[in-house]
Amino acid sequence: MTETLLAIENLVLGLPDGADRAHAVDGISLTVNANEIVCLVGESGSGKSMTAHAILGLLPNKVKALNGAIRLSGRDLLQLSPREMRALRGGEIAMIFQEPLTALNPLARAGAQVAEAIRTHDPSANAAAVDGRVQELFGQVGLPDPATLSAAYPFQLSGGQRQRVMIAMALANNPRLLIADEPTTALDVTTQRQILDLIRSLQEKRGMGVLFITHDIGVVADIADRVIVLRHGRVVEEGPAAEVLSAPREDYTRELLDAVPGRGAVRKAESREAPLLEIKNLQKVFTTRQSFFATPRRVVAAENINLVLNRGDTLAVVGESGSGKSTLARMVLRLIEPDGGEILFDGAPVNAMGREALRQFRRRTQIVFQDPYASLDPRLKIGESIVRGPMAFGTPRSDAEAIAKRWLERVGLGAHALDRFPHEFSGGQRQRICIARALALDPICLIADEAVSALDVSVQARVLQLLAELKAEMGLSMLFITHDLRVAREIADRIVVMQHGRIVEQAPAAELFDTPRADYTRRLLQAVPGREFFASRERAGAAV
Amino acid sequence: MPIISSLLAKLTGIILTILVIATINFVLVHSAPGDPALVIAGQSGDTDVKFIEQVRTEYGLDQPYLVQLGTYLGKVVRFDLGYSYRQRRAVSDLILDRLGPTLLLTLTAFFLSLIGGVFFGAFAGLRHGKWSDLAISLVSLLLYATPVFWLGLMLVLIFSVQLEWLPAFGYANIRAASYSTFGYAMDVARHLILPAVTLSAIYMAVYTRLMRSSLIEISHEDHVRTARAKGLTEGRILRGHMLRNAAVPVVTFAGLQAGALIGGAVVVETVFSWPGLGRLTFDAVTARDYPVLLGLFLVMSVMVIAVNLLTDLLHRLIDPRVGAH
Amino acid sequence: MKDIIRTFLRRPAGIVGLVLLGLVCLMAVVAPLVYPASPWEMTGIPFSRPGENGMLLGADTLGRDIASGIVHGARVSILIGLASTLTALCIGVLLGCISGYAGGAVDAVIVRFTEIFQTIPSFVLAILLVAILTPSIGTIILAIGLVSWPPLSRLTRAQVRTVAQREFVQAARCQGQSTLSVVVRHVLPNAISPIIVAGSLTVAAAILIEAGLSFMGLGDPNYMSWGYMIGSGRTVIRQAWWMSVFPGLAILLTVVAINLVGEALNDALNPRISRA
Repeated sequence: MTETLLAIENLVLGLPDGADRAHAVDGISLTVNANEIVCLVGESGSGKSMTAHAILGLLPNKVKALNGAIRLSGRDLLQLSPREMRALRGGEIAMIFQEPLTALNPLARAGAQVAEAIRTHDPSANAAAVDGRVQELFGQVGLPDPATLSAAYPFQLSGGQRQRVMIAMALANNPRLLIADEPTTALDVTTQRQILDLIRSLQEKRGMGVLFITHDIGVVADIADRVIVLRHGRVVEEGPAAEVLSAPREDYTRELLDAVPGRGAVRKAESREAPLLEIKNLQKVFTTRQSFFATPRRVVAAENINLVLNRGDTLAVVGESGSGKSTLARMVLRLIEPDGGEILFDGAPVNAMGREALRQFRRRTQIVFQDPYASLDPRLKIGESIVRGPMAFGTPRSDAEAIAKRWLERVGLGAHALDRFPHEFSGGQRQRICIARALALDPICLIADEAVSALDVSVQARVLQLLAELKAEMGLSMLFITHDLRVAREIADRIVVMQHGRIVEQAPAAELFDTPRADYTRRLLQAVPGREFFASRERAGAAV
Repeated sequence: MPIISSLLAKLTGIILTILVIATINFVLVHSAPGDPALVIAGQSGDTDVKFIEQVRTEYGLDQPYLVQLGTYLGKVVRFDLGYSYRQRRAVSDLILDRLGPTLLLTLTAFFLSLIGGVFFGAFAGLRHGKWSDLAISLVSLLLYATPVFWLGLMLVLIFSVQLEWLPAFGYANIRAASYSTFGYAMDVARHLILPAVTLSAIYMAVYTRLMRSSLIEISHEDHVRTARAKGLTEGRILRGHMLRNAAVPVVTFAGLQAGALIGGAVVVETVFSWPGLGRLTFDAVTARDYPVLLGLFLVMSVMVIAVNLLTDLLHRLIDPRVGAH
Repeated sequence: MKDIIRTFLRRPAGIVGLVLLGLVCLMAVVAPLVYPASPWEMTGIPFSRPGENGMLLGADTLGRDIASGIVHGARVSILIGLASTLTALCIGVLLGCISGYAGGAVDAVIVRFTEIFQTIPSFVLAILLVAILTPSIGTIILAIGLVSWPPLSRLTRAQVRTVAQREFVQAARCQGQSTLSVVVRHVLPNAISPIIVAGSLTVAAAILIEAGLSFMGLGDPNYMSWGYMIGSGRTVIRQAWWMSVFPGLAILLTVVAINLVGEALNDALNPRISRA
């Protein structure tokens, strides 16, 4: 019989007046036992993070628990005095957060921040003992050279290292319950994989209960013993992970599973068409220098990049942060000037284009950016944002408006969107608007720079679907920049893998997935969350 | 290595700044209506034909502009700031005589305003929305809008004229020379109180407002939530994770305010007859003694640079990220 | 726009500021009607206390009417405050825009230049400028403008840089819009609101600098100003407090009013902060 560690009973969290709904969380009940990982999965607005914060009493000021109970070994945490709550925080219950960049105090040394957690709960501990314990914890979370790293400041550590420090801090007082709020979302896939493995192994060693918040079903498949699916502040479905994932009872769960990209058959082949975009020997180094005398810091964004996009094809450029993939997209459009090398569009060198030629080229090669909130001028109506493109090329306003209307309808928003402002739309809708804006210029090439990365999976799936349809209709060629191999697999004919500004491998999509040649590609593939689960699901599906 | 290179960068910056300021001086003298020699001589020296002639040859005023500029910069580098015909002394001597009291006043006011601002700002920020916050915010709003010299006069009116607690003007009593060292220091300190409070009040108001908003902003940051999740008491969170972080922008801003502080010292010294560079400025303005004004401008700019270096140092002390890359 | 006005009016401090500022402006406008005589004219008995000899706020050492001086002084303060801020805005916004949008070497030079100007003690430079160019309304405006632009330039540069990197600006460039059109239609409108706020606070600072200059005896000798009144009453403060107190209060109220309006404007134009 396993011990029930945490039991949330019918929890209701009220939002302040004027929010889009009355309750962030509306009657959630769940349990976490000792020695198991429970995943709370849901899209944005599902209330998963609020639930996690409610346990430790860390809710934002205006959010209040209106009803229900949160019991830790029977004790209702909502009824505790601030003092009793403090004793639990970082003691029996510890928490790690999403943003390793901001979650640590930038002005204090990493080791000192962990030591503080120990001393807070054991004021009598002597300095040497605390120090020894910090080093030990740093070792346990896999930080190399604990002595040096504990003396480092957060800005001197990488994102993965910071998250390890956070974990060390959380484990400092041997908590019985660990709450992890999207702890790997801000990390690159390979780092995510390491952190997930670390959490899993520490949980097993210590027999902790872990409540793991995530939006990624793949992560759930990798790490969960049990899973709870949330939507709009309510529990949709729960059960052992294996059951829920392989035989979901609810439609929503099934939708979430189906929306995960990169499961279908890999696209068969590239076209044999002539090249539209050729990149030869492209070079770019960013140098930043603090002062004239300081040694400049060099970041290589592109080193001997060679690639070809054939007409009608989709070429995906995949890489982790700092790989230079976004710089590449911007260099193609000359939003950033390369240091050297050649970009040929339809045989014409882009680098040599004068102002008017560049304008004409940009008309035919349009771009959709990552952040749907920064991509539209907040002060302009949607219609105005779209018509300015065609009008810049001499289309009369009335015709441009007709074009805008047609494209808005095509991307599924309807003409009434014309007179509305960006803030009235959701992220997915804005991304559709951006696509309409790009296509209103009637381009033959589309660059998508992480165009679906900021979206929830279900929205992401629909936008990818739209892009695929448009591409087929218009015979577009596409340069698709992404950090997510699963998305690349969904949409690309050919894939280029980049690391530190270099191409480590490029191959037709099918070949890359079946027989990856570069080490780094293999690491990326292995790091994809839920890889094994989805592979087995695929085989099962094929068998039916 | 990074320390040496950043020191070198600082040094070139300082030299560059001094050269630019000297060049401004030069341009000013030449853009003034009339003969530059008359400007350099100052209003009381401009009737002495022999002196004018001497100025003309000394500054090479018949030479091309660039040569003149070179001559002038050469003089500045040798700390030769010209001659005050009115006071019959070298400008550099006049300035060196008055440097001490001004340094005492400005540095006292600088630290007083910084410490007071951080303290009151933190106090108000913690009581965000309560009446004590409102009171502090209101007082700092008013102080921030008060002309410094007027504030000084009002303090004189209250503390010297009405209450007769503190001396209204001067640096020390006339008989102070006969005091013991300690007695002398106490006397100067008594004289320092009103000018220093006057000068610091306005900056204290600025720093209070800045510290308050900075602290409120910090209180919403992720790492404060982390500290709370560790089980720290609110007091420890404040001391360990908020105060220092919130003070960073205040210190940076204090560096930017150094120039204004020295400008403020000019009027405060005028009000309190404090025998420093400010008082010298007032006298030079009244007498249209241009060589003294030009020299003062240069020296005060150098003082600002020095205060900037000081805040830089403070900034480095409280923020490990500065100068690390 | 309607939203901005509504947010502004929801701030009681903003309304207080607006009313005070309105009063000061009214004073400046009606000054010649209420006190048709020149404020320099010695109309009464020297050292009259407030209320004595028909002088509402008393007379100064030469028998000039303090109330008349205050009403006429409002004209100078407002005029110099606005004109010098305009001068500073022209220099600062232009340099900041160029620096922020051009980047590279141009940017580096402008930034360095601005930094040096920001190091210079601005009040001392203003004194020097006015003293050497001889005091007049024109030179005072020029001097205050010349010492007030660096913060505006830095702010504009920072704003332009942030906005220019936003993706909608890049999208506009890719849409084929000209550089001028991108800057004027997309960058400036999204960058301008903090600059407007800083501009309004610069007016307040300029009024304080003007007061300081005329206190030092560097005012335009043809116009009565508040700073001059305090300066001339300074030496007799033991006998005649009213000569310094009232003009000082006038400065204080005017500057507070402008600061209040500026802050309310800030909240109205930057809704993100006002919500917090």
